[in-house]
Amino acid sequence: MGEILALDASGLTKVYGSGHTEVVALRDASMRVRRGEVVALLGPSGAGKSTFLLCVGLINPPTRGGIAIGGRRVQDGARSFGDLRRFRRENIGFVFQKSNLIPFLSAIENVQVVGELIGRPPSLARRRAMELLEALGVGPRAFNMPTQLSGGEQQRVTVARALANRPSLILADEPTAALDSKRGRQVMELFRDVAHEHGTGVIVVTHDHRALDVFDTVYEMEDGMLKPAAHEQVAETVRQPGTA
Amino acid sequence: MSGWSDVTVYTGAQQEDLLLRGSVDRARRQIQLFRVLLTLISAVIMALIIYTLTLDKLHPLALLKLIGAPNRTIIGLILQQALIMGGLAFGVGYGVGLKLFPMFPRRVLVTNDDLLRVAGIVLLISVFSSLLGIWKAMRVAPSEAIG
Repeated sequence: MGEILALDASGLTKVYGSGHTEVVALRDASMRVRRGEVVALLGPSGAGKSTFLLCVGLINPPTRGGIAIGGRRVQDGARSFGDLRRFRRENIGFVFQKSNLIPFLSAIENVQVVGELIGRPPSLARRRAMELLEALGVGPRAFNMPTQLSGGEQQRVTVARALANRPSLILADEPTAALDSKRGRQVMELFRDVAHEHGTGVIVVTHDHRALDVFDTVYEMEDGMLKPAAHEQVAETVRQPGTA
Repeated sequence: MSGWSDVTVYTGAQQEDLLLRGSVDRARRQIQLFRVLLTLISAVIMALIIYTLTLDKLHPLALLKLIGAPNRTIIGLILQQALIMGGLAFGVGYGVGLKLFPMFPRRVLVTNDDLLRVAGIVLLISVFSSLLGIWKAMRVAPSEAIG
């Protein structure tokens, strides 16, 4: 029996519009992410990275191609299998560029809400939320509102929220864009630790070349095409930040 | 006496009916119309308030959809907000009435039946006024939470 992958995306193609207005955002993109693997996705703006995340995050269906998450086939072209929103809340965690916390809920409530959505009793969801916040070093700030937290703390709370449903896959779109280099690296290392500790597959879209050594695998995307980055190129990028 | 040509004889019930059909009836109809108008206006105002509150929360609502919140949870949140607003309005209205009615030139009689009827109307207004907000919330795409 084969290994159960956190993500198995094959031949994803996304076409917006039709006829002379047709734009191909993704071209036959395939990616396999093992449990516990941390993957970086590089590429210039407009290359299709966010479209790829939207497709594998089951938010925007691909025009063609299949997606399996945690060993379960969920999408085949525009055809989906089962309730995607339910699948998302039980199997996928999201971290985005902005912290994206619900502004009128405290840090702990932002994490707790995910537990409650998947049917945990409020007391259990709250306990789990507190454990995660403490594990990520923001336990003392649990009862603060998002506006009272620093950028780094907000991003840690977002990571805690992404972990609250024990997901198979975490998708992060430029999670360190609003952070300084030190904090950015801490967040990247946090993803690596979380992936290794929880056996969660993590895909991080990033422009931060200084932290590429944190990742197990690095992919590049250009003009909607996805390919693994060459080891030499990644090593060179790590040595000479910002030159890739 | 009813046989006399210059007088008309009424029973007690007929006298009451005659009085109510005259100026009192007209006043009652005017008050009724005023009440209907107030009910409609309050429903419109409440619908606009809930719609505006929903517009303010579109990003968090998109975020909730993104992390997988089912539609019934989102509908529940908006309904809950509307019902709390309706309940507060009912409570405030009742409290203000208790203070103000004794100052009116005429006695104002509010029976338990009246209160129950008003509570029912408030409930209906709360539910119907949240429909516009719910419609807007249902149209928000999860991808709007990103970027």
